[in-house]
Amino acid sequence: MKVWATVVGFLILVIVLMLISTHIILGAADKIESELSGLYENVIKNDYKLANSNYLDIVKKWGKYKKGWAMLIEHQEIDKIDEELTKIKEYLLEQDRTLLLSEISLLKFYIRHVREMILLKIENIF
Amino acid sequence: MVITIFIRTLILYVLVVLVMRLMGKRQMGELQPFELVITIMISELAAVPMQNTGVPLINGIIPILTLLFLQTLITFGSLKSDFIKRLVCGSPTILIAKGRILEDALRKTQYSLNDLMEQLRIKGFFNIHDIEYAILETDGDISVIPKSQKRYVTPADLGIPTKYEGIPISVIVDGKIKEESLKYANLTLEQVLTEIKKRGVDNIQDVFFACIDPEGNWFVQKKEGKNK
Repeated sequence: MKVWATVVGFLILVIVLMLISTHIILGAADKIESELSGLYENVIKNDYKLANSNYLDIVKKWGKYKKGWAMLIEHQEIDKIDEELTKIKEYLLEQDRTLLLSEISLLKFYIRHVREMILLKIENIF
Repeated sequence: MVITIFIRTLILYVLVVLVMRLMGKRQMGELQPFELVITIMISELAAVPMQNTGVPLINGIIPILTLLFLQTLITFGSLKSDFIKRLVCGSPTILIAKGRILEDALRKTQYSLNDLMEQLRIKGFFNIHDIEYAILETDGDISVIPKSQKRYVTPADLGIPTKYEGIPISVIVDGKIKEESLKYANLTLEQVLTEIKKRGVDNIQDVFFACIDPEGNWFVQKKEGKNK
């Protein structure tokens, strides 16, 4: 009886942890990705004022999500995202369209990569 | 950085000690193959997040808890089913039967004749003639059953009646009285004080070790430097 209680308790713990971590990562990734799409479109339209406001929103949101992510994913991934945000900030100041677009796409790729890593998939298991 | 590693080490150390305790006492002594695997894996899993602050702590905690879970499950399974026990732990192999070394068994277990002789010598058997059975246990140890004429003489062989022998109970350890032992031995604090005073010690704090055997004989040793 005690063993079965341990087995069930552990499985419940794993499922709850999985649901919480998926919720934290996916929820944040979706929001940042949609903000990044807005930023991308505004850069394409050469609307740097709006792009700047998009960037500030992303930084603000990322500041909030970062702490939760640090408990769940390797800190190297978080550092990469921080690095990209710093580059985007500089390119926005310089209004360098080409580099901005490439860095935004790269940041989107990193966010998507984290999202893919957290999902329960055959590729992730093997 | 230093304090982070310090705190992580504390957390993981407490977790590993807790997990090893939950795995049971067998984990500290003779290990079955699956227990050895789990022990090695746990030490490795704890070491990585301990020193690398880039790895989330949860990456170390979850696998350690998963191994504890698997160990509990396998132990439970092997207690309930002989098949699971044989599958996970293997089964003992007879290497010497009726005084004859079984070559096939040695070959199957990859146990050389030299290894066997060495183990027998370690067990105190220098002559193969003295051995009736030798069994290679699942934890790698060898059990030896000597021939009846070569085994140690027991009081039963000599027909000598023996008294019941219990175990001595530690009553005072390093100046501290063990309440549980008092209850177990049916003693009162006054009785203990009387006994130590008889041996020239006034305070319990001055006793290094005191115990009582089942026949009621006391052993009392003063702490060093407390001798008057």
